[in-house]
Amino acid sequence: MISLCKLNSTSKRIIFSGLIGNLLESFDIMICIYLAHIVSQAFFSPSTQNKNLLYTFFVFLAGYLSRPLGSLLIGIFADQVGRKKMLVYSLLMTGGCTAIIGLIPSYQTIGVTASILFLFFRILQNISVGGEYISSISYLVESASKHKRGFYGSWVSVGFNGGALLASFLVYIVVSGINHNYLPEWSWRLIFLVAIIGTLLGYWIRISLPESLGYILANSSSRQPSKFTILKSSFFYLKEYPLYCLSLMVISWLGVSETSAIFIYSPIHMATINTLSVQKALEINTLSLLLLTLIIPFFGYLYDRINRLKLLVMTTISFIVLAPMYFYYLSYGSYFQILISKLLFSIPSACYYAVATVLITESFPVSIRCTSLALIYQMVSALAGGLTPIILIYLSQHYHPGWAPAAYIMLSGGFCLLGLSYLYTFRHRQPLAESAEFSLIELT
Amino acid sequence: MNKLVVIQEATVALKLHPKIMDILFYHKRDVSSGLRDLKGIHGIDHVAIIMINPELEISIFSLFPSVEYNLIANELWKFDRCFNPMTLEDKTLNWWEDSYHLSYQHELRHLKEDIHQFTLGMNLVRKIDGFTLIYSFATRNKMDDLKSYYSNLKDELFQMGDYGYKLIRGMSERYCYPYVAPSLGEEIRRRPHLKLVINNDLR
Repeated sequence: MISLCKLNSTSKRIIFSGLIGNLLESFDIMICIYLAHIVSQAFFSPSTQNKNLLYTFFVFLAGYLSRPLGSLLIGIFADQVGRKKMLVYSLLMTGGCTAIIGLIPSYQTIGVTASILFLFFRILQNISVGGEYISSISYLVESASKHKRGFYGSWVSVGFNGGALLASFLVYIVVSGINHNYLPEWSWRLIFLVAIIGTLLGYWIRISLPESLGYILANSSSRQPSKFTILKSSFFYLKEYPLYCLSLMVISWLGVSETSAIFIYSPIHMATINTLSVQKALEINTLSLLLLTLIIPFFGYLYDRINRLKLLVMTTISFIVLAPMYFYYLSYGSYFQILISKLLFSIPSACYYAVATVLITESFPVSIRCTSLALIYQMVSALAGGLTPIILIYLSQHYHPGWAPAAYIMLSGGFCLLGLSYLYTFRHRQPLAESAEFSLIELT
Repeated sequence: MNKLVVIQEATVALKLHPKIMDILFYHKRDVSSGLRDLKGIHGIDHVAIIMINPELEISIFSLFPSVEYNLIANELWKFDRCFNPMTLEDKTLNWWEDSYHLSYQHELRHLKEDIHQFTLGMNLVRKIDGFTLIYSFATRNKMDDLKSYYSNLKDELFQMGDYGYKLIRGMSERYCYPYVAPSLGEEIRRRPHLKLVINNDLR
């Protein structure tokens, strides 16, 4: 096995490009959420002060709903013209939108135009974010040799979670500065402008990267397919392998629902069902996010060495076993009991992020990979991401707050195990993961 | 040996495209933005696509045109078999160092490899209906077993070359007249060629 210094430096750049893009993407999205209380006062009328936070969350919802659309659009382009170009465009678009949001004058200066501009750029930002994830995970997986795909791909999740951490850290510093009068009131806008530096750095890295080897090999001598052909082929693929795609959907569902449970819903649960302060709840959240981010590459490394399906089965069983304990302590536990249970829950979560995302990405043929990922993964993400917190709130309010939310995660885990068992039997009959031969031409 | 005789031996009817400097430098930005997609894969640092049309006219699309320019400016390209389709077999991988004419190998190696710190250069040849496409790659890696490494990757290198050619094909069209730059896997087509005939001799 040859280990070339130069190859290593290119590999580092490839990994760093995936990391920085997702870090920025997550950072750009999360700063808006963390600063929701400030942003809502800046871009909406002071006369509707009580409803401004709600309006802001409607803007976030509109952005969230537009993400699958962006993912599909960028996915089709990524399959047609290559991953690299779309990685550059999505990075510039996300960073540009974030910086512009930071520069929009307040409602007091330009009136309702401020609200409209905020809505417009938030939607545009989410459209590009949807494309960034699928393009970068495909790019990293296709740029790696067969035995390093797990490790490479895991850095997308590291970037994504790292971005959330960075956003939380910067918002904490700036908001503390504003509250203690060390910083002027408008200084929250500076966090948005940080995105410019990150975007320029990311652009500089990405523009000099090679195209993914997988894309090159799949498209070296064929004609560039039309967007319609790519879309049609992707739908044909879904129609041809419905159970296979359904299996991938339930695997995706578990990941999105456990993410919602552990990071989005849990602070609410801790503060409402339990009596923990919001600050303590966020502290626990940040610590578990830190642990999760740090151990993701380790599981990416394992992915390349251990049977990946078995690894994912073990992860799913861990979710099923840990969920009752996790939600019980979340409802009735002390600070340390919650912290320990959350840190424990972070371990299978990290494994899932490293393993499932790469496994799902590898499951689609290169020629329609980004479009199919957009159709399956992002659609499920939007659906599960939107529904899970609502379901969990409903369950905890109407049934036992400790067991009922756990039952939802356990049920999702059960479906995931069924999906994995189908995938296991299917793979032995037909090695679809390497189905780069899936030809667009046959379908036209 | 007389230099002129050597030139005649080596080049036969080969000639550079009359606008070779334009091809190398005028489109540098477009060519570079295309071929840059290949730079870094498998440690490749330099990519050039040499296109020789059925009239043996050479066009070169290069990521770093200075590599080829040095040979042209010193008229040394004629002693480099990398540019001679008659000596290159279809679908073969040839090392740069084996392509230099013995009389000029030191100059060629210096201009082509040493100046740019390349440790290994290689050509892959694809012949399509009268056209010869030469995919030229070079690396700065310093490992001993580079030749076996790249020999094992021959098929992938061909595919990378094909991909690179696809990216610059639009540009190469402008310099192919009266031919149409070949599409990979397609038959070569001759562009409809209408010539105005002036006959003043009619009575």
